[in-house]
Amino acid sequence: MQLLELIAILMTGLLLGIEMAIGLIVEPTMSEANDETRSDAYYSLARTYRRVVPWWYAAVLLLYSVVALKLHRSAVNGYRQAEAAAILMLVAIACTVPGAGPTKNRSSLCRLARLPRLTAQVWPRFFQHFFRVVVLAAALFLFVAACFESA
Amino acid sequence: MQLLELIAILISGLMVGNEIAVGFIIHPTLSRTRSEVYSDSARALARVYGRVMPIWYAATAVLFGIVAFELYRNGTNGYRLAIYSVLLVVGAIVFTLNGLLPINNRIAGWDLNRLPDNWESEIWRWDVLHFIRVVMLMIALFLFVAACFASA
Repeated sequence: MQLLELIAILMTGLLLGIEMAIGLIVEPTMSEANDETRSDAYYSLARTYRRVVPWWYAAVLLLYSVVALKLHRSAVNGYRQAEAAAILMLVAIACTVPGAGPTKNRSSLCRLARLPRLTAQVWPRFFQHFFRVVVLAAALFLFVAACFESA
Repeated sequence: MQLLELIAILISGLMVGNEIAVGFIIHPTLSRTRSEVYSDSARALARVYGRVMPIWYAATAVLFGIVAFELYRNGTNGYRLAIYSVLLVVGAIVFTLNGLLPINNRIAGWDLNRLPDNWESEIWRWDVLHFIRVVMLMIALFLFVAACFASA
């Protein structure tokens, strides 16, 4: 059981780091590059992320759910935190599907289109991504706390 | 103490995730774009990461060190794993300073109108060294989380 918890923590930490890299470092950095670089980079990255990240979210949600279920069945301390973490993962996914997902799909279709800079037009997307990162961080925090409680 | 362990796991997990994103997603993806886009993006990212990552590495090393020291002082299980993780993070920092930092500084200083002839091999070399560093960091993170579990 502990190995499963370890894997879940590592996978979430890495997912969160990857999301942070794109939202807080790569996108703001690329927004300062010239139009051609920016649109090409967005296009390529959106395509890659669209292939990789959904599986990662699904895997983390699955791991959280399995651990939460196990803790609930064993009635050990921390099962509530684990359940809350799984719910937060669902919230993060729910934020992605109607929001960032379609935006990413549009980015992957508009190669060399003139994409907006980090201005008023892009801020909502930026904040949406930021919100998702915060939700993921909260989920990870709760999950780690649940694992400590149950250990 | 547990809060400190939580924070250390969170900060180091984010850092390793960031490094994985750069090494396994961002750079390979950008390498498939046109050379102007690739060189421009690589330079911009080298500048930003060059400013951000030293603080992140230092914070991780300090947090790992404090937790390892506490585990050692309390004589709890898992202190050896925590010490190994500290050694690996310190090793990754030394490796970065000697191997990756000089290349990163050269990439950040590129004049895009006069790129050096070996610019692609510079990035490739950086990617290879970065891969080694990511492996070290992943092992360190795994050991640290295992140490926290063992001591809980």
